[in-house]
Amino acid sequence: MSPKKDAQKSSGFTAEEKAAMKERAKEMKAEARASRNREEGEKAILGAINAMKEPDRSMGKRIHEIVTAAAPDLMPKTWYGMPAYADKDGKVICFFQAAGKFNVRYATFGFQPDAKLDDGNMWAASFALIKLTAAEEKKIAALVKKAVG
Amino acid sequence: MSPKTDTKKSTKNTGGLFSAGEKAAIKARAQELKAEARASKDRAEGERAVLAAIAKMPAPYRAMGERIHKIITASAPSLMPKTWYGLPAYANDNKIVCYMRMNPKPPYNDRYMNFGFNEAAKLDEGNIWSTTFALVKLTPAEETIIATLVKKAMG
Repeated sequence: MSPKKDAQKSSGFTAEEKAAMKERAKEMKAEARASRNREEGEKAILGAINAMKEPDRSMGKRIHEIVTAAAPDLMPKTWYGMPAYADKDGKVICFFQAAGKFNVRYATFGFQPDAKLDDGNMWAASFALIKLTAAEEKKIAALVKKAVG
Repeated sequence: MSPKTDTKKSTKNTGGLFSAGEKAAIKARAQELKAEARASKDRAEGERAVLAAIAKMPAPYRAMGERIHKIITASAPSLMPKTWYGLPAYANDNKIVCYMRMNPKPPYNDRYMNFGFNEAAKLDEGNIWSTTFALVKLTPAEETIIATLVKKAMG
């Protein structure tokens, strides 16, 4: 029984029904907004990646695929112009810094404090990347999965 | 025998007649002494700035920062302490090799000590290697890792 059908039958909704409908409307708005934000974020990230020079561009594209596959709930967005991935609170969990961003000899894949990589007293929080092979891809995917743990 | 006394004596005794080679050597030594004095002053100033930056860290990270500072300076005495974006940092040839950051305030919101290396650090290892580390506690094990990393970073 949907609240709508119920409404047509009777003259009014109960307070509970009204509250439930209001909640659902809010949810749908938030979902639409989130989906729009995701699309916008994705577009911004792909724009940032396309603006990179090779080999940053190919690496950035691949990293984007790896992160979105490993943690589909993370929201893509740019952060200081870099491709980044945030949790539901909008906090950046990880990011890709192209080698060309600050003209260094390696790209960096970094994690922020909200990443759950904790491991004893000391753990690595960012990584220099020269080249992506299956081994590095696997490592990055495992790190991202752990980070959203 | 210092060049200074040498200069005075020689000028008196020889009527100021240095050979071109002697003059060049004296000039070079004077420049060296100036550079050494400047470097020593820079080091003292850098050290002061770095320790002041560490002192701003919240406990227990202040003590951790002090300890890391000691480990770095012992592992690579030629590294020059200086602040970098206000962070305690250590430079080689004026290029930052490593730095620390523990700032719980936005936008950093740090919940651990960040110990990071920059491009000047020679930590290269295959296709991927760690460049920054999160630290929540220092025991001899972590101290050894840090000392090893710093030594490796200097090549």
